Amino acid sequence: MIYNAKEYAGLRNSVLSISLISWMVILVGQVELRASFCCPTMGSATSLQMLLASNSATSLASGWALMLTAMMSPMLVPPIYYIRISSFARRRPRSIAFFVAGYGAVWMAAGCIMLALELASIWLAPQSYLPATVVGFVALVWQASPFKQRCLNRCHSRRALAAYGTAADWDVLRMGLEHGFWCTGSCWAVMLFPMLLPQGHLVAMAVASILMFCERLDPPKTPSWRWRGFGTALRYLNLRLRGPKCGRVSLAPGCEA
Amino acid sequence: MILPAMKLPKEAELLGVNTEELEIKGSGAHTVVRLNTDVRHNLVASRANTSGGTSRDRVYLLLENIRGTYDAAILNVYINLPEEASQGDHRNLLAGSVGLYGLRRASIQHGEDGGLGLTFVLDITRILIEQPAAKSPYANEIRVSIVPQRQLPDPADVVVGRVSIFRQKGA
Repeated sequence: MIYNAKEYAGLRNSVLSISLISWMVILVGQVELRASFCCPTMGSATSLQMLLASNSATSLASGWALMLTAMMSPMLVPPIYYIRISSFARRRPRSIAFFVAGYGAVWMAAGCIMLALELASIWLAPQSYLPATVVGFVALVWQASPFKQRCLNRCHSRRALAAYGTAADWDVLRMGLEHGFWCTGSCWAVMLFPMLLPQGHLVAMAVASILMFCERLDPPKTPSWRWRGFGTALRYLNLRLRGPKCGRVSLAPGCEA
Repeated sequence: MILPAMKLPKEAELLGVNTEELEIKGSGAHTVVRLNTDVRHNLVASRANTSGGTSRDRVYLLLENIRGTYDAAILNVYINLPEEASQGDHRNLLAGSVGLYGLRRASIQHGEDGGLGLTFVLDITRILIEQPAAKSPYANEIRVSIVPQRQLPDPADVVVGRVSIFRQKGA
C-alpha cells in the first residue's frame, strides 16, 4: 500500500462528515434510539405485548443503523483507505460498497441480539440502572481482557485483496464480514452499555464512541490483561482541546519559534 | 523554526496485480502481474513523460503481506527476467533486494504486528524506461521473478500475499 497523506485526509474528512451528519440527525431530529415503554407493570405478558407494539422492528432497525453510522463510521477510515488504494480506480466505489455491506450485515445481525437484550431489560426492569450497571461492569472487564486485544488486533489486519472480477468482490465482502465480526467482538459491551441506561444514553454513546475510536489508534499488541483505550482517549482529547505541544523544532501547524 | 512547505506526491494508482498468492521455494518463483487495460495507457504515458524528463512520475512494485517463518533470507526481485536466464547476465533487470528480517514475528496473527507480514516497495521506473517497448508497459503483463540470494531450505515457508504495480504521479 502506498500511503498518501492528502488522499487519506480527504477520505477521513468525508467519512467523519457522514458520522457528524448522523449525530446531528440524532440530536436535532430527536430520533428515538432507545426503545420506549411507559407501562408501570413489569414482567407481565400484557406489558410485553405493549412493549413490542410500541417499538416496531422497522423503527428499531433504522435507529440501530443510524447509531452504527454515527458511532462506527470513524473507525472504518483505515480499512476503507486500504480497499481504496488496493483497488483499480474504476472499481473503488463498488469495492467500498461491498465492504460496508459485509460490515453492516454483521453489526445488524448483532443488533438483533443487543436490541432484544435492551427490550428485555426495559420489560423486566423499566427505569432501573441495574442492567446498565451489570453490563458496565462486564464492559470494564472486557475492556481490560486479552480477548478484547485479540479482537482489536484482528481489526488491524488487512488481507491481500484480489483485484479482478468476482474474486475482487468476494474478497472485499469477506473482509467486511471479518472486520465486522472482530469489531463486534471488540465493541459489543461498550455499545450495549449506553442502550441500557434509562437516562443519558446519548452522552454515554458519545463517550463510548471516543473510547472506541481512540483504542483503534493504538497499534496491535500482544494480548494480555491491561487497561486500553483510556490513556489514548485522554491524550487525544488533550491534543484536540489544547493543541500540540511545541518543541524547539516542530512541524505541527500553529507552532512557531 | 518552521520548515518550508514540501510538495507532496500525488495519490498512487493501481495498475496491475497478480492473481494469487506466490509461494517462494528453493531457488525462487515467478509470477505475472497482469496490467488492467483501463489504466495501462497511464503507464505508457508515465513512461513517455519520465523518459522525456518532463515529469516525476514513478512506478513502484509492491510485495505485499509477505508471511512465513524463515527470516534468514534475502530475495532479489527481477522485472521481466527471461525464463532459464542467468541472474548475473541481467543485473539491469534487478528491481532491488529485500531482507526478510522480522518475518516470523510479523506473521504471528495475534502478535504485536497483527499478522500483517512484511510489505516492500521497490521503484521500478528505471527498469521500465530502459526496457524495449515490446517487453514493458506496452505489453499486457509484467513478469516478476523473486530469487533468493541463497537457495531456501526445503521446509522454508515464505508466501507473498500479493504482487502489485502502482504508478504515482509526480508533484
